[in-house]
Amino acid sequence: MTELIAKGLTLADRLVGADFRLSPGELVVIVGPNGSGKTSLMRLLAGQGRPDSGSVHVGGHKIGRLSPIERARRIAYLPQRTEVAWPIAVADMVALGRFAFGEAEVARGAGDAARWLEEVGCAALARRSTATLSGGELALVALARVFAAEAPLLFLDEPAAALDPRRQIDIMTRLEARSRAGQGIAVVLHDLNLAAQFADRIVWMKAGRIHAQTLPNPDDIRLQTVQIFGVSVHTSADASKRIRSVAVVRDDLKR
Amino acid sequence: MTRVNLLLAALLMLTATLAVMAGARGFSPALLADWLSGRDPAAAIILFDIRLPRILAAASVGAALGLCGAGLQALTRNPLAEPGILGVSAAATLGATLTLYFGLAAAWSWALPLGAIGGAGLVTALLASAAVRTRGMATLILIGVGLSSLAGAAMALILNFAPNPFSLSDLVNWTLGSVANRSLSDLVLTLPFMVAGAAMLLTQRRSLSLLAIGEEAASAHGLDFRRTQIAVVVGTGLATGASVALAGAVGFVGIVAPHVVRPWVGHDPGRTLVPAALAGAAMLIIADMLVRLLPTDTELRLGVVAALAGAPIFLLIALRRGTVRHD
Repeated sequence: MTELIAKGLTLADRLVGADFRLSPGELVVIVGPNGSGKTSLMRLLAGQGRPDSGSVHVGGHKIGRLSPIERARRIAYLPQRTEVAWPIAVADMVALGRFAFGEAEVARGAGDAARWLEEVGCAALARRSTATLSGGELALVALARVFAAEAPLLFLDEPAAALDPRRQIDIMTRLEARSRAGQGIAVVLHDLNLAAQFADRIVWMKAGRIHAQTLPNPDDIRLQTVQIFGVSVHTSADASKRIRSVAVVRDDLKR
Repeated sequence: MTRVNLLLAALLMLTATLAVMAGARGFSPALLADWLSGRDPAAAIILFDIRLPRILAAASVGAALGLCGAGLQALTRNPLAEPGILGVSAAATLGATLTLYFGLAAAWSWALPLGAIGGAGLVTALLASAAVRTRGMATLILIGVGLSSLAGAAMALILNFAPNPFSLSDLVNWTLGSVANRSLSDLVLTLPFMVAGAAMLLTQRRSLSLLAIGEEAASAHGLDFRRTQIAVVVGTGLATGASVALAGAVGFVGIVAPHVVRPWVGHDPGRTLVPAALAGAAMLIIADMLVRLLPTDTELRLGVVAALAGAPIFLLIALRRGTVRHD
């Protein structure tokens, strides 16, 4: 079982004493204002860069002790910004996600790319050049690349930011299915509506700290959005208190 | 990919065969026939002491520069990166010239290649450390241009103080670039460094492919960026330095060769390396053949031909890129 446990992560003035845990089969959503340290937290959790203090353990190993390859086999990480320096084919870009498993796997991955592209609804793009993609399409292809790693833990930094509503729901549904199948997934979102509907647990960040960790229930969400973002939200929930939607309300209509 | 390599290798053999037959009086297989039949003992001398070293020198320098260009472009993720543009060749020339100027090269035959490699290595290391700190690739090119100018200024200083016309012409030779009058022993002095540098670059093939998705995403997928960077920097320093030690500064091969082959390998930066080396070798053999065949009084220098052909292509790439995106 690959579980990730982080304790007291501190990084310059961007992150202060963050404790975090991600278990297999769990879909955790991290929310917080711009500059609240979400990306810094994600990078450290994914083993990118070193914290000033604090530790990250993956499956019992200290993350800094793992070689880049060993780490990449356990943790797949999607950075916020998608770059492609050369107009390589979409299928080839997805296949790069197999890098940590050797040259033969990358070669085979180009053939198997359709499978992961299918998952993000982009099977038709396989033969296109990455240079011809729209921003949203490129983000989806990058997500397919991270899926291709088939690592037990996934860290995704705003995978839904550039997507249309249909695609946002599709992607979150895929993430939910993957977490049910056993992957541990942590995802940064700005969309509270998506966060509340799909999260098993919400991590609320503010000013470099983890402010609170709550279940996605209406009372906590209404309380935290005021404290964290300074906005009020309407929530609707079904009989079992399961969130159906969250809508941000303009300031002059506050109750 | 292997098909592209086979095709280019065949092209390389073809150009080399043509180059063997090319002489002062145009193409002629007569010399080859003379040598094969053993009729003319001079034929063997012309072929093996004059033409063959020259062709081998052109081919190895072209291959080294093509490979270094492809490697630097993959590392910096910039299609305009190249040993010449980034000042690596200029620094190598300066290193070589210094050993000539101070008489070290005359005293110890390894001094010149080592001087050139030292110069190239120093600048490549500077560039690589700058590449880590600057995000914009335009900055890197500007730093390269600055380093290139600095090395050029130091060269001018040395030329200025050259003690006599002989050493002056010796020094000018290195700045213009040529493979004329190279012997097999010159090759023996420089080829090992080129091979070592090329081997280092080639070990990074897969990593350079992965680097196409940017440093952060690549390292998330298991790339050891520092190791790749060091291997490419040291490999480029060795191979470029050695090729400058052999032929002086020959520009633009490193930018044109990868550019030509890139579409054939699906723009994959790792798979560009070997074809770029083969294309670079063929290009310099052809350029050197032109140098030999053109009826000029003073022999045209290889570096001059390469620059005349390569600089416009560099400009074309830069202009086309300018319309696509800015970074």
